[in-house]
This record gives sequence, C-alpha cells and structure tokens, in this order.
Amino acid sequence: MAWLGPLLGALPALISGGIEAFRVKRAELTPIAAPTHKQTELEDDAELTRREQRAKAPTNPN
Amino acid sequence: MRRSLLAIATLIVVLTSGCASPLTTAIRVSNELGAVASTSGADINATAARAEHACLWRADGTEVQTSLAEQKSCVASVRATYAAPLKAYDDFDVAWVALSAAVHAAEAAEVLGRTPDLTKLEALITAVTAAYDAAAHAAVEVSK
Repeated sequence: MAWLGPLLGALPALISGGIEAFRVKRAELTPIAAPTHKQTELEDDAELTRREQRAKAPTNPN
Repeated sequence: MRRSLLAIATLIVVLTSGCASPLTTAIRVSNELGAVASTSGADINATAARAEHACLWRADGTEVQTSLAEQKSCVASVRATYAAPLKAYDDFDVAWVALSAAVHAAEAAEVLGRTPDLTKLEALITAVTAAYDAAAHAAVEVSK
C-alpha cells in the first residue's frame, strides 16, 4: 500500500494531464450562407420600374 | 494496482467526454444548426427567386406577355407567399451571427486567461435553437 500515497498525490496532475491528452481539438465555426432574397427583390423592382418607364415613354411617331 | 489504474482511466474518460464546455456546445450547435439552416434557407431563397422571376420572364428569357399590373400583382403575391419563411431564415441568420460573435468573444477571453461569459453563450444557444425551429416550421408551412 506504500504506492498509494504517491499515486494519490499525483492524481490531480494525472487527471489534468489525462484531460489534455484526451481532449479533442475544439471545432471551429463554419460560416453560413447569406440570404439572397433582398438582392432578388432589388433586381426585380428595378426591372418593373424599367418596364413602367418604358410603357409611359412617348412612342416615336416615326 | 490494476483496479486503481482502471478507476483513474475511467475517471479521465468521464471527465473528458461527459463535460463538454458551453463554448464547445455553442460551436457544435452553431455548426450543426447553421449547416442545415444554411442549406434550407438557400433553397427557400432560390425557390422564391425562381417564382418571382417567372412573374417577369418566360423560360426562354424573353419578357412575359402579361400586363404590367399583372406582373406587379404576381410579384407581390410571390413575396407574400414567401415572406414568413424568408424572414424566419433572416432571423436565424441574425441569431447565428450573434452566437458566433459570442463564441469568438469567449475564445478570445480564454486566450487572455479570463472567464468567458457563459450565461450569454447559453442564452444565445437557446435563441439560435428557437430561431432554427421557427425557420424550419415556416419552411414546412410554405411547402404545404
């Protein structure tokens, strides 16, 4: 039982060393995709405005 | 002796695998929910864009022949249909960005030897999870 004293004394170091040894490297954050619907709305609004202005424009008599 | 070593090994395994830190949990939740929401959010964005595009353009790339009023009405209808899921995914993105900022802040705190703000992390994990559930629900509703 003489070995028990030193073993208990070394237990904290063993545990923390064990934790470090077994610890899996923490993952990193993976970026997510940005939404695109605002860009779609801007483009379609611009197209509708273009068509509206074209419809309002005076027709060329020639 | 062998029994003691076995007990110590068991203790080490339990300590390392059973006690994931809130920061590790936050990163795992961010990545798992982020990956799924990113894909389904992109799908909803693309589906809404295709539906809106079809109000203005034919498949061959020429303009639709409906009146301007009908085109505007069609666009408004598509936007109304997809408004809820698109907003839900936007809200998820906002919550996700807030969580990722908190993760980076916690990582920086660890590097500096300070204690990370785990309460904030846990609150943001809850917010991201709720936003994810809301987005998934809205996506299901619009697909009915």
